[in-house]
Amino acid sequence: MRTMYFYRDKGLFLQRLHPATTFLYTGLMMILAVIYSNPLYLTAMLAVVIWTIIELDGRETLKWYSRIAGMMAVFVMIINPLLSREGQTILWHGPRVPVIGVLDISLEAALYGLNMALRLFLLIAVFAMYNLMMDPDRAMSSVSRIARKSAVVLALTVRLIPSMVSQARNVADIQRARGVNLDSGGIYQRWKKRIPFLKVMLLTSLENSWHTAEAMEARAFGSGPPTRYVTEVWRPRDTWITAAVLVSLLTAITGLLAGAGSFEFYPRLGDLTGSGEEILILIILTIMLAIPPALARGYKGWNFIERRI
Amino acid sequence: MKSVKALSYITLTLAVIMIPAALVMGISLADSVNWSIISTLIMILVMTAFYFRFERHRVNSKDLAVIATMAALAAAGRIPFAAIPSLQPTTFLVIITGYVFGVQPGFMVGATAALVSNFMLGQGPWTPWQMLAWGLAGVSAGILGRVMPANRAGTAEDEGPGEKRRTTVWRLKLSLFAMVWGFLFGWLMNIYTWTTFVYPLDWDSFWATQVTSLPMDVIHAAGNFLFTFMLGPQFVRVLMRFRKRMIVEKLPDRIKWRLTIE
Repeated sequence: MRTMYFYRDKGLFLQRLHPATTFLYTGLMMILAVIYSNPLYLTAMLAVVIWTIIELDGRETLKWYSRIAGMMAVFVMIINPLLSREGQTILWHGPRVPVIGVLDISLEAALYGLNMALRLFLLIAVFAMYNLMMDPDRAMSSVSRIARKSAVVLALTVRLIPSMVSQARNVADIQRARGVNLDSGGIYQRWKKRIPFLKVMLLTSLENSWHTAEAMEARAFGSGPPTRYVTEVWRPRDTWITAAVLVSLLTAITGLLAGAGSFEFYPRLGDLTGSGEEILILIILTIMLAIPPALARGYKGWNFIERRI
Repeated sequence: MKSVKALSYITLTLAVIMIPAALVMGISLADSVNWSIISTLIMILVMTAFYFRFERHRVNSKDLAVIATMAALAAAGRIPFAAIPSLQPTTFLVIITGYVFGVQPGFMVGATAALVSNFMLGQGPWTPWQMLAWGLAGVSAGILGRVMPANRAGTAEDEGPGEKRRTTVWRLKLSLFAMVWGFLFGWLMNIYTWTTFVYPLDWDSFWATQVTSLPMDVIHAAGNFLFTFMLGPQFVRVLMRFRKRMIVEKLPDRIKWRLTIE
């Protein structure tokens, strides 16, 4: 089963965090990525995330995600300049288009599109990082503490998929033995040949679900409070990272109240660096957010840290 | 019970703290409200409400097993059909589950299928929106099941011509419903892109965002229609029969007594 997961367990430092720590760290990153519009802030965060991904040995994953992000980014970079008419530095006077109106492309709107593409890359990178860090099994078992039945449904579903895949392979073999060539013909033909699949799968798996339910009853499901298989350990590293996350959260809130991290695009581009305070907040925030990858690096290369955390 | 309590506290915390917090953050930030955060929060609250409802329900092992089976089928269904993007039976399976088993199982199957299939395909910002979109497809199908029940639909193929026509009409209606969900699914997914990466947020940019995903949505909708039209009646019949088997009632003692004597 575990080989089917996107996640690969490599026993890395960052994969051995408490689930709560991982959730806090990635959650904060996701929220900040959507709140900040200043390219400096976004770039700094992107750098931190990419460092974390490298510490997680995930260059391939990053590439895979970048491809998706690239496709979405093209759209974001095109649609923003086309639709926004609030920028004042006009780069190109376009013709009048029936529905949209005058098609003027402004510098501000083009840069806004670029900035949003940056935000998109950041968000996608944060998710790539989450996928590399968090074992779905451990995530599920930590969910089971608050939502027991939903977690049981999740776990059952995950457990059923590999058996369904092998079942589907059997069905395909039987079909082939009867002379159905699944990989010939046009799209519609191929699609149509896969239909009997579904029917067989539905009937068999519904019958199997009956057995699953009986097995659950036989293991005393619902007769008392559930037991847990995975035990999570809270280590000093979790304390360190949680502290860093809390400090960066406080910094971010203080900054937001002072207006740091936002950037005016319309009608004219604002001041990128802003006041000295904004730069200070950016530096503190970046350092705090970079603590997890820094600890991971220290864990690898420095015995002193390895023994302490 | 403890877990239900914990969940209700979490919902409360979300509702009481996070929405005002998001509003304050959104307003203080830039010239406008940060709709990305607000729409995400609304989405999370809607899903929490459904999960909360599920936790409070009395469910036995059979219900859980059937929900998990349908969810696994819907999630695994994305794999053999992966060759053609958007053309997969997931939406169809979620809709017929909701149609036969009701609102709550419909939501659970949709949300679970989205989450679990992304364990394999990779989580992303799209995951919660897929969970919501498929979950709501199941919910609406559950409502449809109450409004337009399949009384003997598909079971009466060898009866009179009137019956046959009624079955065809029912089949068409369900297929159209599935087709509409092909488009609604894409629109819900686009909300995220629209609120997070596009400015200004007006009708022009909204429709422009929708148009870019139109080819995918058309394929999705057409696939839903075809799946439902070709397999709908059979699958609904199978699920109905299964639902009947799931309901176990205890006979009163005197009847049991009489049955054992006879």
